[in-house]
Amino acid sequence: MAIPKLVTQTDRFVVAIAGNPNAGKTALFNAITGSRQHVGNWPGVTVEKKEGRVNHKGSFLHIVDLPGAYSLSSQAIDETIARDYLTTQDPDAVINVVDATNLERNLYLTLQLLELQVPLVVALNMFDEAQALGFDIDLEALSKMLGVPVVPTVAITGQGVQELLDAATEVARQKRPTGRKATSNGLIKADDAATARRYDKAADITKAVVKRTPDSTKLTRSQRIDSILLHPWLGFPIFFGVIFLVFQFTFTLSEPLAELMILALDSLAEWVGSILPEGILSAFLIDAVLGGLGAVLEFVPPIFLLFFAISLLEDIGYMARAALISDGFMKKAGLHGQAFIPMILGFGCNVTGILAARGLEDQRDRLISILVNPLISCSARLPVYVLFATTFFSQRRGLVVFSLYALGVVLALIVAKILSLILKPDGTSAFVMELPPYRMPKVSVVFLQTWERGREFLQKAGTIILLGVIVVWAMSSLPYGVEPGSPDSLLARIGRVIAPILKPAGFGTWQAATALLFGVVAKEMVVGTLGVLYGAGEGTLASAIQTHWTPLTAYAFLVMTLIYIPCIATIGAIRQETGSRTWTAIAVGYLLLLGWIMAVGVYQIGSLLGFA
Amino acid sequence: MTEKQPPTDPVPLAALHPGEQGTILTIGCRGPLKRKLMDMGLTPGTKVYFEGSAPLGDPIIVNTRGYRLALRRREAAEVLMSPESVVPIEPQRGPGLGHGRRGMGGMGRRFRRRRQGRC
Repeated sequence: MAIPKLVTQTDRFVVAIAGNPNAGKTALFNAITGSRQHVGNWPGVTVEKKEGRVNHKGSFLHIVDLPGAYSLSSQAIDETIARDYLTTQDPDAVINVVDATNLERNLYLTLQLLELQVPLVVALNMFDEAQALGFDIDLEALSKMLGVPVVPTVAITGQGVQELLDAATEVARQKRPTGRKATSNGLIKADDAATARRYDKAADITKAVVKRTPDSTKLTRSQRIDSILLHPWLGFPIFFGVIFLVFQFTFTLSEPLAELMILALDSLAEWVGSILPEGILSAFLIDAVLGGLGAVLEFVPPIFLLFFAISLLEDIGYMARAALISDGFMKKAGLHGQAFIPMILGFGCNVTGILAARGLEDQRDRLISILVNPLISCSARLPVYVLFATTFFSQRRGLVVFSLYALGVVLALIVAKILSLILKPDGTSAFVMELPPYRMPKVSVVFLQTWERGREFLQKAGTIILLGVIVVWAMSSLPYGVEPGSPDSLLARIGRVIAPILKPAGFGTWQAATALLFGVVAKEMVVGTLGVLYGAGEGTLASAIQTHWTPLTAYAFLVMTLIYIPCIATIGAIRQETGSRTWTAIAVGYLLLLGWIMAVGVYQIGSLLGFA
Repeated sequence: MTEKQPPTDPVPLAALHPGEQGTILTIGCRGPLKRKLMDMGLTPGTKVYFEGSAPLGDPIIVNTRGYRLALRRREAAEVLMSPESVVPIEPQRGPGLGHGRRGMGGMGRRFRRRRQGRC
């Protein structure tokens, strides 16, 4: 019997979205897919890959958002990904998002896409803004000159999206079966003559289709705003004001929210404790699982608030200005201007700082920025500083705490400089950046962006944090039956083993070593652990410390606490953001080594100088 | 290049003053930076208007092909302008950014002396 041929009633098409950064690509992707989207990474790199699905009039469209690209002929990572995808994955249609207010520069990519002979539809985005500015664009003429459909869109309101999908489906249906797939990168000519020719053509097309342009003798709104925000004298105060506000917004607002979460977890733990008999199971559930969950949930409020603030500033267009303002001094440390905001945020929490490094376009700059961020002293380290500084340096405790913060910054800049000399630049780390116009932020876009970024962090880094806490808990409660964290626990035994290594730094006691081990979970735990190990309550810890430590060993210990190892959450963030185990190991390794060297240096030189 | 050499040395974009406009002659370096600059539209024959700079005087902001581009002075030093094309068009543009910074001329002279061809 003949098997009847299966006829699919619906078409399935893969539609890629390509376009310049700042052309509204993300907004258009969101307008098309709504919440039906998935964020991942492109294979092998940490560049975000967004995919979504939409059912358009009976056709299933699988939408792939390509990284923003000005060109397909460069070696920059984003542009390489876009080019490789287009030349090897053979999408059924490509939507090229073109900024209608910036036609000439955007058409350069369009011309490259045409050279690739991909089935193309042009979305002439921000069409309303272009009209408001005084542009009059002849759509028919543009479509005719390019030889592809042109659909005016306003991505943030969803205007024109249905027509765009109509056109994309139509183009996909007509797509010839191609033999293009085999050839790849050679298709785009990257020589200077080809570039100049394309730009000349883009200029010609623009001249032909734009019937009216805005009055160029008047300053644009963005130029007027920039004359204040980038003012030689006002620029810096405003910049620091903005950072201060982001900082306040993120960390002040998150504190009560985080406390609420911890409170909820505490009552949950109490409830678990009341229904389960005391023993290893309840201890595991309460201390390890709920404790670990608490370590993750604690980061939820600051991370979502931070992403909200950053998405908002990005949407407005201020992030580009922030990079411009800080580049002047950041380049001296071998860093890009965009690396400044991650550094500042590190003072609140290194996890947020490392995540904010996503704003860096260049992968090498981003890696350096991530690797040095743990040296910025986060707020969790402050309780440790305060305890020792008040105990030993009562008169000059402020100076002692400040010196640790300053040491962290100086080390971060030095390490960044060294890394920027070691890591070979891939040639794209030059500061050549489009200055996008200021735009009114669209709240729904900002919220969606915040949600996507926050959720991704929780899924990936959250797992590592939870696992880390469980492991440390297990080590502190094994062998079975010991009091958690007691001298007989596995963790304390490991502390004994590593104590001799810390001897040259002046604090080679097993208590100090164990406290440092616990500090890996969260740095503020160093204080609590010392309390347990010295058998001291809150009031008596200071005097207990005074009998076991000297001002010099205390300061060496604080230097160690500042540097030695990022907490589990930070390690999780580094692992997720670098996408590499090797770089995570290198980060942990260099910080351990640097911490030890600095602590030993402080103790040995201090001893030589006669301090005790 | 078969074109006749201009009578004077080309002027780097970094040496222009705010409010001045010039036409690109060539990009002085090779490699990825040249690729990037050209991909952003800085091709020979393109008009570039020097708008101003960041508060510290570096990077600079230019207008070209209808959009605004920021680049470091080091990179702008590789964008070589034809000397006779450089003209002030300040009055038409009104008071833009950093126009009080004409005192950066010292830096301009330094860039003018720089040899081309390094990236």
